[in-house]
Amino acid sequence: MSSVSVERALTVRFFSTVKKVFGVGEVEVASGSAVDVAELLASVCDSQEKTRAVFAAAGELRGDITVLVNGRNIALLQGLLTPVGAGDVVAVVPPMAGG
Amino acid sequence: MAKMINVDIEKCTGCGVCELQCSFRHHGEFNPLKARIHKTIYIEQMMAVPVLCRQCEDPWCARICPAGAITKGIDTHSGAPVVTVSEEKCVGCKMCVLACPYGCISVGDGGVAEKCDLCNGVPQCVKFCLRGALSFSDAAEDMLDRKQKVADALLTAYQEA
Amino acid sequence: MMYGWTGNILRVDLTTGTTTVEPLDRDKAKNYIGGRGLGVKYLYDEIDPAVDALSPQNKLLFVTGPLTGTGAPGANRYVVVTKSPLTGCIANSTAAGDFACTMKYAGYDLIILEGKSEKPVYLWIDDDRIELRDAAEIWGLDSEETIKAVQKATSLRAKVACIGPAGENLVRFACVMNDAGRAAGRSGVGAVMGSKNLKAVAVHGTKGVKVADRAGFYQAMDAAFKTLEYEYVEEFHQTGTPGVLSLVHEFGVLPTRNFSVGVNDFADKISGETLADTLSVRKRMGVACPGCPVACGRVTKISTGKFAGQGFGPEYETIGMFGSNCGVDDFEAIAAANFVCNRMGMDTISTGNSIASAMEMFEKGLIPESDIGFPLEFGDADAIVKLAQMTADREGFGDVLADGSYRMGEKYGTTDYFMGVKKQEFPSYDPRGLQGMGLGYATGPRGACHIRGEAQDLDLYGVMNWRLTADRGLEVLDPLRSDDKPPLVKDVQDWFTMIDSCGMCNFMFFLMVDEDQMRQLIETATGVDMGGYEGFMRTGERVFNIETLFNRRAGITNEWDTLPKRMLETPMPAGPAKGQVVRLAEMLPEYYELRGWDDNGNISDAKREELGLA
Repeated sequence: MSSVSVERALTVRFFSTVKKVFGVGEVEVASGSAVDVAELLASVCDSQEKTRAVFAAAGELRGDITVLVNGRNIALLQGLLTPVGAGDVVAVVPPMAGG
Repeated sequence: MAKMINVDIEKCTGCGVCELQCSFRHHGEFNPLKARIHKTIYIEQMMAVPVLCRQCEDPWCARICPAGAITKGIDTHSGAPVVTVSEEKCVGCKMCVLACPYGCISVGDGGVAEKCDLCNGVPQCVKFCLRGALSFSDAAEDMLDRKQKVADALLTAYQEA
Repeated sequence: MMYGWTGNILRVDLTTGTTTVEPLDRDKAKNYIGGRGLGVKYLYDEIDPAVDALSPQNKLLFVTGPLTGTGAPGANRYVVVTKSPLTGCIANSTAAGDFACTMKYAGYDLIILEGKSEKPVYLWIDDDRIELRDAAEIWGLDSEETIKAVQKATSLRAKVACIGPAGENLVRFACVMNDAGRAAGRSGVGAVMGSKNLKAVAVHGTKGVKVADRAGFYQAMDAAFKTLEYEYVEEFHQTGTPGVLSLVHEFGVLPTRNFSVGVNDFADKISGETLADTLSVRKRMGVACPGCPVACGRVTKISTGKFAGQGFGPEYETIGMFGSNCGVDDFEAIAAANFVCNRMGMDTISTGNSIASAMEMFEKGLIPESDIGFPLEFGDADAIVKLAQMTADREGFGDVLADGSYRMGEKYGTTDYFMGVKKQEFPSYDPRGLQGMGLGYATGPRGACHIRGEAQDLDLYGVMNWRLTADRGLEVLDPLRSDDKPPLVKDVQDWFTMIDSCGMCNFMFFLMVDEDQMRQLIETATGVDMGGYEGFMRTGERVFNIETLFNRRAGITNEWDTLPKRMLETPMPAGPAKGQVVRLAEMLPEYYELRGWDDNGNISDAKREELGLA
């Protein structure tokens, strides 16, 4: 919590099965590199396997994947066109259950 | 080489779905005590081991059967070797029960010996084992897979050493 | 001959020591199915709901469902139904395990335990042979020791449900424990068992469960298993319920420091993946309850140090309550507190939540240090383990905690720091960021609960693969929106009464088995036509309503359908749900109207007639 960088990055977090495919729980992306969720996700999906874990087809999320921007489902915002900027946290979530 | 029911102990969770499906198939009821496969759970180690008929090459149950009711043959549906009991010939003497080193043949309410018959080529225990601890697969390939797993582990150990 | 159901009830009068077997009432079975539904129907018909929960007049029912012990996936549940000493409401706590299935194999749908034994006893059921035995030697043993001792005295193949010292000491949230770390956890059903001087029930059964339509049942079973073949089930197997913690945190609703906020900086340290990779005896591997293809259970081991030990769990709710909600980031302490609760037979949710409440009240100067014996601050890992043990033993301040955090609040002058509903503590979801969950908590017949209408699923995921969302054409729900929640919460509550009544584990339905699949399983197992989807849901509604009737007759009015002031008035201070409160007043009138209840939460005559409730 202590590290404060001058240029705040965008954070993308991967959960559960998606995390497995990406091999890490979190990546930081330079904030200028993407304007919306679509661009951001495209930039982190740098292999076919990763793309398949997130997208059903070009420009379309898989039905079982939920994407949150700062804890809010993008389906309630502007979908893949939801803008993202410095300091935002984007989460890519497959179905999960607790109890 | 031919198919058989192979067990991967690593994957067994001890759920006992195999027992339930076996008893339903053969006795029309869900009752683990009537199943021909049985799992033992070692909960503190988070391990479980299913035990079932291995369809022996030279089955002791068949050798000892005084009525000649038990024979080794080939399942016509799957081509897998299978040891079968003839209900007509079986007299329920239980010699086979004494002989089987796996405890996998018994004499139930019907008065005749009961054992795994591979469910006409689609073993129900395997079909419903979603975790993949049981597989109805080529025994030779299964052994090769296991050897490769050991090799993988050896390689990792070698690299870490 | 009945199918699915065994058709038998075992009735045990502990006062006189007599046992009788009587036939199951077919109409009750048809209209209330089993488990939670059949249990409340029998209890409602047999006791005055106003009786003292810990008196001999209360009854304790162990109830299986028509699918329990069958090959339907995860069909391994029984439900302990009684009047709760914690809430004064209906209690229905479900648990999985061999005990439940074996009860069916021994030939009983229900075991009704009534009266009170003069001396500690345990019940030994060996098929048709039933015996009450002296329990003097095992009274005082913990649940794991009790199970071993009873098996040694009866049969090593016997399956045992029992209480630990917490139940004996009438801790108001004591559990009934069975098999390997399984708990009928909530509402203090173990205290009722303790009040009857009943230490354990051991059962051995050799009969099977038969179904009415073999081919039909096979088809329904096969379809349900196929539904469970997808990659997330594998993930759930590997990380279990704790896997959801990081997601709940992402939504900003992970209870932290007695529900003061929904985010914290240590969620990573107590995540499901951390658990699966560290304390789990086998890494990324679960153990199963009987007949479950998922296997989400966990055995954990702490090899060295002051918390060294081995046990079952912790599950998500336990980690949330002992961990984030107590401000504790030490996984070993959380697991150790869980082990204490399991051995003592005590609900981890109420225990952890009550300790968090005490921490806040201590920090605010409302509970003096002299009463507790040490300064009790958030983040004190040693304290959660120590206080769990003291609560079970009712030792020192543990005697206060053992009555729950509502009564603790009353003792110290304010219930504002009690985080729960109807005197039962919240589980691990802050409802301020989950409006539907807020309504579900407030209206749940057994008080705050996450599995009596899993509104959190709807709030977190928007839609599940259930008809109640699919038929509405819903694609996504907004957890912060309240106006669309009343009808959904009503339906999901009714649907979950069916889940708790049929005998299957509710995780099968998280994992996408749907209403029609369950209905087909029940219909083919029992031969009873449920009247399609509508009749099926009406059955669930009937059960939900009779539970509410039970509560009304117990003197629990709708004034208790509310939430702590903090949830209603104090905006969430940070995170994605920042600024939110639960807008309960906006949702409740519509919810009552949809239920066919008047403004006072009383069930209208028309609704009673529709549901066939006298």
